[in-house]
Amino acid sequence: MEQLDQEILDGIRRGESKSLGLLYKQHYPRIAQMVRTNSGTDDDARDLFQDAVMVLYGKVREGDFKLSSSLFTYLFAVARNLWLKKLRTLARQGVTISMDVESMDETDAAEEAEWLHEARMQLYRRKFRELGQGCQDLLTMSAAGKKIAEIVEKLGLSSELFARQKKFKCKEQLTRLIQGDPAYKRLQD
Amino acid sequence: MHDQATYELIERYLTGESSPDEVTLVEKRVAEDPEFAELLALHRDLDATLADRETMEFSAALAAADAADRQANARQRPEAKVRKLNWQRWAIAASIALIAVVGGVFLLRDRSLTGPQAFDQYFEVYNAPADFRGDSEAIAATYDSAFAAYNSKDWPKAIAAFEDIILKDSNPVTAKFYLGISRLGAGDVDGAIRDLRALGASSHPFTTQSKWYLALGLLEKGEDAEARKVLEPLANGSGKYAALAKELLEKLGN
Repeated sequence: MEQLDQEILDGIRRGESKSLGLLYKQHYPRIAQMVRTNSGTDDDARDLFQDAVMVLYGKVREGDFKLSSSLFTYLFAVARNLWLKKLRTLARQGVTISMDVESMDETDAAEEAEWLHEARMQLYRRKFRELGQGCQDLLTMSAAGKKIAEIVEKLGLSSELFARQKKFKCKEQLTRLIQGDPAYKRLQD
Repeated sequence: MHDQATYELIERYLTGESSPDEVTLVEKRVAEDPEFAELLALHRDLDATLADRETMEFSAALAAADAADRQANARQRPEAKVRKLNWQRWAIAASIALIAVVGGVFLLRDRSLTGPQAFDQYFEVYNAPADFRGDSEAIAATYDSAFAAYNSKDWPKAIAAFEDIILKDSNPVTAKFYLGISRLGAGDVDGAIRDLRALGASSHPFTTQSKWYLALGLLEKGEDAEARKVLEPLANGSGKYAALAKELLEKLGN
């Protein structure tokens, strides 16, 4: 593995944001190119790259992860597989795809399921960030196991009843955002 | 879409606070109702995702790195265009420059506006109403504090206040519009585009203004073609925003 790849991986392990800048500079352009030349947009490419990086992050967190190839090869394999999945869905829906999606090689089924799961979780995180700050704070505190009384006090809400109602509305908004995204159904198949 | 009772039933089930009867009810519904089963699975996944703070923070840092990369690319775009000019385009550009100089008008400089430059030149905070009456006294007071934050350009505070109003007010169009402007002011362009696009698609006192600010948001993001699609119908109308849209389209050139 190249020294730069190792530096990026070490940076990700330590949670250093400058490693992410380097990761984008080094590896995003070629993955974006792959998406753009295969019926995708810049926004598709950016979402896909983030999904691939989150898969990598999950592996890095496991501790004993060792790359058997270059970092780019790994990210490209994940991104390509997820993109292929999307193209197959579009082709099934009757959308004309320029590349021959059926002739592309398959990946290990268990690995693919893991990548799809991570991409789905990343969709949830992406949609969570679309919520207003008030909802994000409330759901974060709630997920951290904070009691409703503490949430009321910390967020300056008027009552526990209001906090419960607000939490319902925030969660309802989040589930609606997720279920309304075409990626949600696709990533469940 | 689900109601509060269903949501609370799921919440209690997932946190282990359900009564035995409720557990039986949830299990029966999971077996009989695929939609309910999907909703339960979604809530379970969501709870696990939101509880993993470390991954949430990494994902947010990744989104920030993506935004920075996107911005860096947008800044580089005009230069890239200049490098790609062939001799025919140079000849056309030179002719336009000559016409501008001969006419004594410096049109060329204005026509070279990029999306983000257009945003900087045209984005002005929409005036807050001097006296806004809400549905109730409590709502009116919340609007007062939201507009105070808005007028002092304390965007995080304004955004939080307008979001709060949206949850409480039965007709929060005004709050939604000013929330969109606040997001633009705060640099949350994606959020502003999302809010203003929804507002611009329905009919109310802020429809035209929403479309104008939506176009500015799209320009700031570098989505010039999308911005044109919003500006062109606006320019064909009448009034202040038609004139502004016409002027801006001219400055963006072809």
